[in-house]
Amino acid sequence: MSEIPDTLAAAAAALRAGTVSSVELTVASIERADRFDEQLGTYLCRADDAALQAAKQADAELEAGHDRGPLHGIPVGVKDIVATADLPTTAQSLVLDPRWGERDDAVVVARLRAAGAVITGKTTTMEFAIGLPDPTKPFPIPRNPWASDRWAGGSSSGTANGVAAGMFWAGIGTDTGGSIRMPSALCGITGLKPTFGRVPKSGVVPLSWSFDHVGPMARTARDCALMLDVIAGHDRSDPLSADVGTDPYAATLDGSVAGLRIGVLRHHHVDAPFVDPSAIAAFEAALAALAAGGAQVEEIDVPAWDILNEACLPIFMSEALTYHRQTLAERWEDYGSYTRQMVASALFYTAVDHVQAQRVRHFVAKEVDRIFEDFDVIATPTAGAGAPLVANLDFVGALTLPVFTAPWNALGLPTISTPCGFTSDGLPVGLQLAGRRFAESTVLRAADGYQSLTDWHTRRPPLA
Amino acid sequence: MSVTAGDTGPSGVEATVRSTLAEAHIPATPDEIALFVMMYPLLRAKADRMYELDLGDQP
Repeated sequence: MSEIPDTLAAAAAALRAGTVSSVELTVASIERADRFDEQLGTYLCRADDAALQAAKQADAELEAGHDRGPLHGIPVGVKDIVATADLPTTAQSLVLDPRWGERDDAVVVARLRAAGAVITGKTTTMEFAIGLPDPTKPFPIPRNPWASDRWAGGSSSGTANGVAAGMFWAGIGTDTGGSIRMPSALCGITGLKPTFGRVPKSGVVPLSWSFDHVGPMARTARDCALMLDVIAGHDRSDPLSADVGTDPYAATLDGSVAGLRIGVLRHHHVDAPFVDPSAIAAFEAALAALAAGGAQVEEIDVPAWDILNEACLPIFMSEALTYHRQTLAERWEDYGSYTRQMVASALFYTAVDHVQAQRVRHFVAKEVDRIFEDFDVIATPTAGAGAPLVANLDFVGALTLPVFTAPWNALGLPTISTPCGFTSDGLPVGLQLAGRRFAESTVLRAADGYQSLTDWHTRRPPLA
Repeated sequence: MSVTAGDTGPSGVEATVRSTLAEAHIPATPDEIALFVMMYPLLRAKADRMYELDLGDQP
């Protein structure tokens, strides 16, 4: 077998050079899953036979000169809250009607298939993309490829650890409070939450209608751009989909941060409770690298940022409770304990809380818009610590994780996490970069430029 | 809904938690009720921080 390239872009180039086939990529993907899936808890459902069939078709099409673009023949994993016509969609729950999404691909999956991607299976999540892994339920516990006693993060857990472990070259995640960026940071990969409405959500199990986003996860910013090129764009089946033109995301990457104006939001991040100083040191080193690469790096402050942080849960959890209220009452015991406790906690918010939270959201959104008149991106750590121990995951533990992602969901702005180093325990951490509404190109350019200055995104976990 | 933001005394919290769960027909276990009782003041304190921001007439 030929040498297997380890990024999507390299695999796409190798396919066109004829040095590797889609079948070879898919066989490699299946072999990696055979070796590591049980240990890491990546998949809820594998589609080995269908993937091999799709790979054979991709090879035949490429040989016949029918090239569907960079994803053609590339193995891709899909989070199991995203519907696939040929595989069950469970949301990792005993509660979801097993007929949910039956016979229809989600818009993003249909777009991936049309672009020739090979769907390898459905990846693990937290139940309904919320809560924590629950060992009393019959689902895998997603573990971290860098330390298998640690959590992969969530809720796009299996997509993150699968990309990190080389089980597929890219994947689909969803992000309601950080569920693409947090596991990407904790597993040492790159994950993009696009602008709200940029990627259609039809066929995706909702968690919080106004916070939910669908986006790509991969090893590099360039690979995320190649994925976004395919999945972005308006679709009328999603009433929240934005009818705004897309950019050629991958084609505009230039590997440079020169001239980018980067605002650094340290307050409420580097000084937050429970942060690991070594994670913050990695963040500071990332900023120094960006400055050395020609970016203008300047400290900023966003009024009421900490209050926006408090405003996220009353909105997000209330929307989740609205979706789950009936089934929580009827099937409480079928839910995982952490999922049901977190969603039910929204009962203790009031209608007035929800209105005030929306007012805070609008206030801070205007302040951030003003800041983006002078800056291209805003930088923060993605999280202030590495992956927690699986044994320490509980409701209180989850609330004390220093994760800095949720306000960007409230604002709906494009935000990426790129690997930026390791904690003193050897766990990956991420640099978070946010941009103006629909300015995914700028965010991707910043991350791609950073990755051209550093090699953190090339590090691979020491899987046995 | 019988949640009262200022009702944070020990017995008041438990009564609020129990009645709120009951109104929503949530069959929480005793351990879960204890968790919600412990969590309630923390959750309310965080939510109440939103009212520290003077938003004037802003919608």
